[in-house]
Amino acid sequence: MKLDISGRTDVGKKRTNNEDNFLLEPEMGFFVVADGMGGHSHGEIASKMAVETTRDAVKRFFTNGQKGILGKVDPKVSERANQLGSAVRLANQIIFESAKTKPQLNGMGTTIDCVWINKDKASIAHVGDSRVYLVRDGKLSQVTRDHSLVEDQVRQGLLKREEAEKSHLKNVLTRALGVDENAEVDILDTDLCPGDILIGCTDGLNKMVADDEIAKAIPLMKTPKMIADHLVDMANAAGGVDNVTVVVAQLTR
Amino acid sequence: MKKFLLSDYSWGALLTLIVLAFFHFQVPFFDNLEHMIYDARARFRLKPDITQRGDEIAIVAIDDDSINKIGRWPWPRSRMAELLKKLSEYQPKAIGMNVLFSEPENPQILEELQQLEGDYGAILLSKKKKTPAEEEFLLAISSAVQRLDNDSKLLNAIADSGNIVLAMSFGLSDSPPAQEEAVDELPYALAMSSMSGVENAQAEAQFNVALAAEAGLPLDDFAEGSLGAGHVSILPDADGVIRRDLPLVKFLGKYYPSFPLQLARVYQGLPLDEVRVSLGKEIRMGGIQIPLDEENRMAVSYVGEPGTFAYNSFYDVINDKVQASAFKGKIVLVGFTASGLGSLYVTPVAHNFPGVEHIANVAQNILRKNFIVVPPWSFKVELGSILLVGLFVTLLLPRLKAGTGFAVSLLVGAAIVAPAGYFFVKQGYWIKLVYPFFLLVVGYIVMISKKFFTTEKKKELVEASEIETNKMLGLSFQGQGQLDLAFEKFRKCPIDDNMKDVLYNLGLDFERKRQFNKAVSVYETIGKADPKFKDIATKIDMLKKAADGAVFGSSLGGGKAKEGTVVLDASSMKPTLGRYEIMKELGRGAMGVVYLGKDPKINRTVAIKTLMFDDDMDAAALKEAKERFFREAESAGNLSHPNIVRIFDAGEDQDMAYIAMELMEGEDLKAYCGKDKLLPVSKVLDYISKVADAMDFAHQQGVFHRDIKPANIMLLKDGTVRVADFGIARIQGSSKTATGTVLGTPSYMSPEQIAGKKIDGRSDLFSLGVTLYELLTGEKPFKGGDAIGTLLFQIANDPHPNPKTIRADIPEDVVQTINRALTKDPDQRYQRGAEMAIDLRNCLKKIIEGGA
Repeated sequence: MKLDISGRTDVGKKRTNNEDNFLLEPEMGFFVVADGMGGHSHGEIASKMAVETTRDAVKRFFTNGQKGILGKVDPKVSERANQLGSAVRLANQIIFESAKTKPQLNGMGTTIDCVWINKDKASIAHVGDSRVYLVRDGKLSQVTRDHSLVEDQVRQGLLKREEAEKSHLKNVLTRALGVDENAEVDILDTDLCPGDILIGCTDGLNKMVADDEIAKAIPLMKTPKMIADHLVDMANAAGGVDNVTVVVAQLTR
Repeated sequence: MKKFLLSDYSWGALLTLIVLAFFHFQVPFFDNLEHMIYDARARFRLKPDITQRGDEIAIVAIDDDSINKIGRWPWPRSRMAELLKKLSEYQPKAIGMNVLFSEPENPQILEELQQLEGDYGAILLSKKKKTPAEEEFLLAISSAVQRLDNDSKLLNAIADSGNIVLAMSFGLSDSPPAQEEAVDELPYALAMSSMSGVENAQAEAQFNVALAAEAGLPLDDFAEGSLGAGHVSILPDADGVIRRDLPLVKFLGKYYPSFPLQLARVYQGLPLDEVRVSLGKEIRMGGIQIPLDEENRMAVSYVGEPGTFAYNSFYDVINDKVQASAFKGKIVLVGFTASGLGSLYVTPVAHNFPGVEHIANVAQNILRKNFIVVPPWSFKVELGSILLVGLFVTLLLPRLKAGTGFAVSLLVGAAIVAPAGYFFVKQGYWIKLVYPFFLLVVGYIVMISKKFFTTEKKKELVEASEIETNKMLGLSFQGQGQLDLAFEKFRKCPIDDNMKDVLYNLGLDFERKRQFNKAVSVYETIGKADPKFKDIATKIDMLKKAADGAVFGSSLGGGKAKEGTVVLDASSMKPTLGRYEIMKELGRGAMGVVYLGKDPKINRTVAIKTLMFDDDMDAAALKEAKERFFREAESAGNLSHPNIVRIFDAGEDQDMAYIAMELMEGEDLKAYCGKDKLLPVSKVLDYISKVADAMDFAHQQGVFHRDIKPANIMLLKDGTVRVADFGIARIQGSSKTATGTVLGTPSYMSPEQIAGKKIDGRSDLFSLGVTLYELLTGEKPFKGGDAIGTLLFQIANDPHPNPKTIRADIPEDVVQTINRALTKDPDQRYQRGAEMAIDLRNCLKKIIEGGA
């Protein structure tokens, strides 16, 4: 099975700089998306550290056959998922300690979503409110759970989902990289079928474009590059309030 | 080592196919294995209990005891006759003589005597008068003849018994000679022993019958009185073990039975003609069906070790030391057990099995229907079991864990062995289990070994130790350019071989960033564990010296240079940048460090200006910046003018870009911008006019400075003036400036430069005007405010204050020059540097002439 990955990031229409970052490693079947935060463009530094550190860590697992992982081994998920978790925890420590040494960087943080695809299995590591979606047979489903305040409220039944969309607290995160010495990372595996599409995106997309609109747009596009470009354009057309990043990976037979 | 190994299925399938091939071709190796299993099983068929075994057979043994007491063999045949007479008294059903009487006994002596008898008798007959002594003598000879004629005694004894079976032997051959002519008269033994009841002689091609090339037969006389002869020939299996008997042998076109077969027939009371043979299948004798295999052989089921059958010593029999019940109604076998006499066979049960007991076993088998047979369905069962085991090994075994796999394999193994064993022992069915068993054992070993090897290769995840964690963190920090943090983490790891390499790389990174002290620190850390690692000893040495040579100064060749001189040994490695040796640090410019360098080829000292690019420039922007830099350096390098700093070389080394330029001793004009340091007007005019000339020259070459200011104008010790940093100021990374083109020192920028418009030489002249203003007054024409925006607005819109208000002794024409240079509209400004230079020189002339 072949894997085609393409990504695009845009500063949006209202912001002056782009604090999103993403990296693709098609030979390894890996991509990572991060949305940085923190004043004075330090979000950019955090998200860059996050994507580069995780990519390098994954490379060390992939090519050097490194055995040890950071943190506890979770026997319920695959070897790769554990390795992704380790890479994300490593990134967290790098960002956290870097921020400590340079006081001006204090408070910088980032979301992160790493996806590592191996034949027909995808492993995902996730922290924050960026998302990974799975598109199968024209249906869009969100694979990751947002680590945001409103999401927790919806899950606890305190808030209805439509209210959550409109809440002015919807940017408040419950988890992020770089803010704490230890990071709690969601890791999971999912099986893939030929034709499946995985989309990693920052909230710049979701804030502007609703899920069903995304779902409608995808079948019209032929390649991941077209999908990524189109979704970014859609976000900007709808207002482009925030930086937007979209990475699209498609598994073909 | 990924997909090269065959998958589990392939291994299993391959093994099964191989075993199937062996099965098809009946490879001897497996036959030997099967025989071993067979013999093991055969032991379970022993019948020590006489009720199971039957008591129909007794043996009269010519044993060592008899030989000792009677004499050496051969005995006179009268002895044999004696035995037969005795035996007959006990009324056995049949007597088998496993002794071959193929030659007459002592023919010569008897013949001689008979000749004598004949001759003497003839002589006497011809005589009329016979004396009684002569008649007595004749009688004596006759009785001697009679006494010596043991053969006749035996012959009579045989005939009188009426139930003797004699032995004959065949010399077996695969290719007996072709019959030359039909034999008209067969010897008696053959004639009365041939079997006529062969039903499917035409099938002989399919079912091989043993062929004989020659025969050892009992004498016709003996044969006449007997019930027939049976052969005692035997054929062992490939491993020399006797497992099968030879019920039939073909000789000269006819079939002859074996000795035990004859005995059994006689015991049953059947005529030989009523014994029916179906080649390859069975021999039917009355109610008994003796199974034959494809080679017309009968498998022998031994009922016991030698000595199982009732033995009676020949001597004892002759001397009435036995009981009648030992022989009544039974088959009595007479044969050898004495050492050196008779045959000894290797059987599954024992290695020295007397031939006579072997015969007893065969006879027992026939009479008691104690057969081992290959059932017709054996082939299907064997094939089926191979396939089933093959399926198990291929599909099921790989999926099972080690413990389960072992247990299930044992079960499967038992499932093969147990029924086969049961069938063999209880029912006499011989099913070859060696093939499926072999497949199971080998398959199990292969699968387990494979699993062992593959799980060895698959690395299992473990939680990283603290040391590993620190290493990971260190590497990540290093990747992010945070070398200090990286070093901090690496220090927590023990220094093994891998760590030495990691630290070495960190040291190199520090060197690239020109942080020599830190690099030394890293190398020394390696050195604590391994002082001889790579070249760290020399590096430490060299870097320490280079670091010591660093001197801080605000301008080229600053005042403290003397303290900074360093003597380097000629032999040690000096830091180099390109082909230039770096001698010491001269100072830090806005764009990077400036070193004192030496061109070893032409032994010229130069100033090396290094360009440090921003750390967070991405690769593309970096590449672009470098390209621009080299383009500018090239164009600046082409400017050869007495008032422009010469650029000799530009290049890249260790990720740093550098320019090698004319080393100047002096200072820049910034020193003279302070109110208390102002130069005389004439000097200022002189210098600026020269700069204006330089400008003109450069502009004609199409090179614009873009950053004219006092700091970029050098006043050398010899009083000459040089303009420095032509166009180089433009090289800074673009990440700091979104629009990327507005650069320069704001206070000196021209209005069009601020506006970001395309600039030309006239912009430089504006900057020169600002410089002139500052050098004359000690103040900048545009001072700006708190925010840079104020300054930019002023430059673009506000008129400059009159310099005369600040310094009264500035001549009016100088003010005019300043005004023109500082015209906002470039079209109204000086169009060429030469124009400005002329004006300035005119002012100067006036001052000199005026002052006198």
